[in-house]
Amino acid sequence: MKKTVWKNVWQTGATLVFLIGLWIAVWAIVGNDSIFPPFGASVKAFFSYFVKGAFWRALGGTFLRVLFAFFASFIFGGGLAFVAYLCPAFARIFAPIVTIIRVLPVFAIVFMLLAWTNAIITPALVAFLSLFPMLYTAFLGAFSGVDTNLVEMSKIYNVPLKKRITKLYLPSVAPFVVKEIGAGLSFGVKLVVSAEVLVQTRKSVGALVLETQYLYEELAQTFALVIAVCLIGFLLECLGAMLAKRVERWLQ
Amino acid sequence: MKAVLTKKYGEKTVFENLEIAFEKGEVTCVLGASGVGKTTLLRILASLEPFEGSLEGAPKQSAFVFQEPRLLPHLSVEENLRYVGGEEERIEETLKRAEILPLKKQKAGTLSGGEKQRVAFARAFVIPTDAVFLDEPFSSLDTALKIKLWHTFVKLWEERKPTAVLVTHDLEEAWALGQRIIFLKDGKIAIDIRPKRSAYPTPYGETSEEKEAFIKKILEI
Repeated sequence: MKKTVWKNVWQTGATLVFLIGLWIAVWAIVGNDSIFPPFGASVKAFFSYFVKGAFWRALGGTFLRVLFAFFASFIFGGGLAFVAYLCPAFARIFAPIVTIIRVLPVFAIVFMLLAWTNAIITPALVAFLSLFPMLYTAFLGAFSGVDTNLVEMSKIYNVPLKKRITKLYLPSVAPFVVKEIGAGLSFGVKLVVSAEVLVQTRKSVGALVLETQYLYEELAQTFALVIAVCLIGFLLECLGAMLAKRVERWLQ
Repeated sequence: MKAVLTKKYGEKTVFENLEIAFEKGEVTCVLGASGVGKTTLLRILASLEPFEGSLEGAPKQSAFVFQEPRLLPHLSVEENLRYVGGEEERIEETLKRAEILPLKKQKAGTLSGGEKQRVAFARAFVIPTDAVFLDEPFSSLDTALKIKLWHTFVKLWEERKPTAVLVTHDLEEAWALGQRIIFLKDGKIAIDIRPKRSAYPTPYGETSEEKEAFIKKILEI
């Protein structure tokens, strides 16, 4: 166990060193700080954000939108996948709708969404439209993998649906779905921040990114925000992996 | 329970107007070669399989013991029994009868094959049922464990004596547990007997003239 932890730390550390090395190499090749900022300046800008109240407010707003988009996709995706699993006719009718949502160029319709709602909700909707088909498919796959022998046994013993959901279906799909949580949340961060930049959502990480574009020779701050977003995504993925391990242990 | 049934799988006819009745509170063993339709018959009686015909006195609540235990591996033994509707006091009593009370808190996934099957038997008898259907539940066990489980089954069954239908391909098992034995051949009842017995279950390997005659008859069919 300890050996595995050290191996993970060592490998992550090596990756970080490689990325920093790559950054410094690119910076040296480009040789122009206004096109590609030095690593030190970006790290300094990154830490300087920590003392700014505006940064935390922006982060909070963005994070709330990510959570809203993710959990809405999780609940709707999971719920509809369960209906589709129980009722194959619904699955067949709903399949093309999911395909349409999946291929929908959400950033192309972002201004439509903006016209119908506002700049605060639009980034969350954009993320929802991308995450929903992803989670629906993951849930449907997981439900289809539930042991049919156990389903048949439950039917014979007239086990109520509520009990079947909590004791059979949810524990069966949990290991597969929990694995999607980290990836889904970090993907949500990426989508929400991108949409925030596009629709200029006030008090958001996207808005901060946009602000730095107007400041001459402040590319280091843009990179600092990119680092912050990547870090949040990374932490969310770690959280998802930890949760997946806990669920796995609980089910053993 | 009385059924008149026809069952076809595409072109293949398994049963054509098969008339079969089961006495209340009796253990009936259904014997027959592989593919004769033993499991199909059991699944029809348990309303798991569609068929043409009629089924009178179909059980409102039935229990099923499968070839494999079909337990929820992440739940403890008692939780598995609670899952099908077992009440606290009844769970305790049934586990005691099945001689697995010490395993009560153990997760089903960690049990041995024999223990799992014992839990599956306890689950079938923890709720009040009109009928218990058993589909070769002893087939994956070694002989010693099988004989022990015959006694466990009888102990559990004797309490409420629900109608029981046991499908098996094991002659010895049918003779030990069947208060009535039906032998199926070509979708029809070829032999239907109620053997006389000295004890229940009949001791393993005990021979009698009736048993010898039964085996001879099966071999002649």
